Amino acid sequence: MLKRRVVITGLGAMTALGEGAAALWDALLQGRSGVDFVSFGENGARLDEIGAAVRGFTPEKFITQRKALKVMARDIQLAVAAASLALDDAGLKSAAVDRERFGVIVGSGVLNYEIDELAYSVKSSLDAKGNLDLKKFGEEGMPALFPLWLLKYLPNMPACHVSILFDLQGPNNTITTGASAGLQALEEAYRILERGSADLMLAGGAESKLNPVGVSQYKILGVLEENTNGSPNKTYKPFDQKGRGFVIGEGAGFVVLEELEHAKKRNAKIYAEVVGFGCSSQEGRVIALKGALEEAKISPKEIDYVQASGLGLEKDDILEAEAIEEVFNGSKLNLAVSASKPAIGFTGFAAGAFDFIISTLALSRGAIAPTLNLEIPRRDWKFQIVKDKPLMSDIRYAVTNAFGFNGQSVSAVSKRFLE
Amino acid sequence: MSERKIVITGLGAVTPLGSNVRDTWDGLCEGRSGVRRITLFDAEKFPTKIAGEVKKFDISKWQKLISDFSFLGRNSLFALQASEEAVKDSGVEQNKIDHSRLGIYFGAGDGGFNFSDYASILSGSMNGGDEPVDVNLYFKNSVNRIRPQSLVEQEPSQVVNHLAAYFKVKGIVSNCLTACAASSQAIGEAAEIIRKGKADIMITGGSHSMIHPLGVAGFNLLTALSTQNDAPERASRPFDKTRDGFVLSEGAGVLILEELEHAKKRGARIYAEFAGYGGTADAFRLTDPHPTGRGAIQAMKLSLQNAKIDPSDVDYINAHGTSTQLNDQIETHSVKEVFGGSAYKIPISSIKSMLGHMIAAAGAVELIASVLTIRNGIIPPTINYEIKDEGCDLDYVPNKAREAKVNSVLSNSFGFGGQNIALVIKKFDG
Repeated sequence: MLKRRVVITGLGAMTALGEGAAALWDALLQGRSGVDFVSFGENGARLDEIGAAVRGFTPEKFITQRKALKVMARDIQLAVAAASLALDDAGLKSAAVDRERFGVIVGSGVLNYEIDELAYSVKSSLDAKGNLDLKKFGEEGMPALFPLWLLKYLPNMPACHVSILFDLQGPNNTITTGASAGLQALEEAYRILERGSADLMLAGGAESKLNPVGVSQYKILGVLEENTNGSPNKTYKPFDQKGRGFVIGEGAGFVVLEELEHAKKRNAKIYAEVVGFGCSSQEGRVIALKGALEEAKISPKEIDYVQASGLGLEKDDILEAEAIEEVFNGSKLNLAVSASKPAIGFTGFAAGAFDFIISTLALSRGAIAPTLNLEIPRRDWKFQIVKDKPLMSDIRYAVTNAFGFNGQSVSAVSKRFLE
Repeated sequence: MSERKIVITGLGAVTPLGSNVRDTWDGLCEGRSGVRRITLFDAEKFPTKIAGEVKKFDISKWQKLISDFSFLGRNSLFALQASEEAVKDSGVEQNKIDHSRLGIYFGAGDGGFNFSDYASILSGSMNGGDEPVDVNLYFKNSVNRIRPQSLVEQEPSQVVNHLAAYFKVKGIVSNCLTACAASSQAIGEAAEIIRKGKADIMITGGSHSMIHPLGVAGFNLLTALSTQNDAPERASRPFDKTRDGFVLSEGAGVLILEELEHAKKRGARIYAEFAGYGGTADAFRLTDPHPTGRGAIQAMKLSLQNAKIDPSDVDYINAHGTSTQLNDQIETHSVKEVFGGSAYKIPISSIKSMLGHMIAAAGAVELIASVLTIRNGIIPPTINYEIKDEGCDLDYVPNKAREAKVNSVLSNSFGFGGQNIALVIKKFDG
């Protein structure tokens, strides 16, 4: 039996750089950053931070059912919007395709509670000393929450809402592996198409932690860049000597993966082909990269460019760079490497999906977007980090990395589409 | 090249009936319930005051082995314990295995959430005790009081991170969370990873505990839980006419899946063959299954096709059987759609009648019970089955375990939000 080939036929993104994958791409090529000041609360109670927020997002544009909107945390709203954009891009909104052979996989996790929603409930559940009294909570606090409250925050809800709103009855999953989750969702979708359990898969990730709870969480984890120097867009500096942490972003990204014959039959626009994935954990970067190349059956020197994770933390940047050096072994001194995070922030579960979208556009448009804010690299690495301006390049093969903290690692190989 | 076959070579469990597979299985065969009054927190004023808690769980070993132990959630502790039992049971530790060909795929839930701390931070961030919350104050209070480890351990994927470190896993590691279908889906995908040749051994299953104030409150608000607080052991009554919701429980179930030739080469004991997997979505509503059971029907059909067996080959169905009005009725209807008239001849039981609903971990423990059903020739019962419901008229193996020769089992798991997973296992013929 012939191997089933998998191609990319739709892209959808909601990022700080705008609505749609094209807006993201254009801004990246122009070297624009979506990082700016953000604030929460009002007046004296205001919390000022910087972040890459999706500004002016109107969920009603994508979700007309008011009741559905009420049970969606912002992560879910962004996911539905990006899914909608990807389906439009692929021409699948109203296409007559077999819905039982069309599934969705989302990188997602525990969503942040909205504090004002819980605050009222907590307030009516305190004892005289201000501590939580579970008896009072059972009697007064709990009934003050709305009936579907739990559903607003469950990790699998982005995938559920997307399946319901767009009638996707095929395989449905939610992958929770941190900053690798978005790309790992794409890996699983790829496997499902390859083995024939579906013909079409929507896969990606969503995260919105640009809220008081999320900001405090990242602060507690000690991973935020402290030195902003008053210019937000210059703050996030992956691979740069001065980079000491990240800037929080938010958004959702989805990719339509499709079995090649299915795509041809409906005359779909084909961006690129996916040919291999690798995955490992526990500082598994090298294993993931080698695994992806092995599955793609190509040698390291055929790779023209790597869309890197570039977390912006010193240890993680160095380990990623060393993994790239080890796998490509200096076999290609002009190997181009680029990172998107200075422009769209650290987007957690969505990050791998965004970088895959970016590498897909690089393959189809023949250009690599620059890495912002890079002045002096941390080391003298045996590859070229694209900076200052786009590198016009006839790319045949691209690698995308999604490496999380603690080394959970996923790498993908995609190629320019040729019959 | 012939297709790679997958077999089950190890089992491990932590459940309300015992902290290992043997005690759990004995409890199931004896028809015992693990449901009691909640002791993990003060639930006196909650609509639901009962749950299936894991008791007598020995944490001392993990205390010594894991740094930051005090931050670990019950999800991680149960998973470590059950995985160690499964790995020992499979004997892979004694054999020199290639750790780059060893992977993990779990359906593990989140590590719980310290609601008391959170409430006190929130209440300390309201000026004069009124909303809205002063976000600046909230930020400062959180940063002062919450430890990074406790945040990290809330993440569902911390379970597989701990497991990967403990078992020195170098292959694929993943974690999915599709509510009540999660661990069945994890097992199905783990099997596909072996079938594809990306690993030879997968440690797979699930672990979860939602027995905490916000978990119980969340399900109570959805009116999904039984409130038969006066008779905890009789509260979970799948398919019985008087069923009034599911009973929340906790624990972990772990299976070692292995490529057949790999298992043979190292002389492993083979429990059963993993034969088929089907996954679909209802694409209907967040809380209710599709009224025609379309997603459940399709998942069962796909799993049978994948296993290359006919519906008539199935000897036993391990039901999702949550004890909610809708699930049990629509599951019954869906089974009839798939199996036709012979549905009445196939025993179908729900061990949630005894264990309660372990949410993400449920499917894995149910598959372990299915494996032991094949191996021991005993079908565990649906207890608390007393009054027949017209919409539920199959053979639910009421109240007493039954001896039967079972070669093939179908196990169902349906998640909140519409994910449907069906798994098929078969007796292994050398």
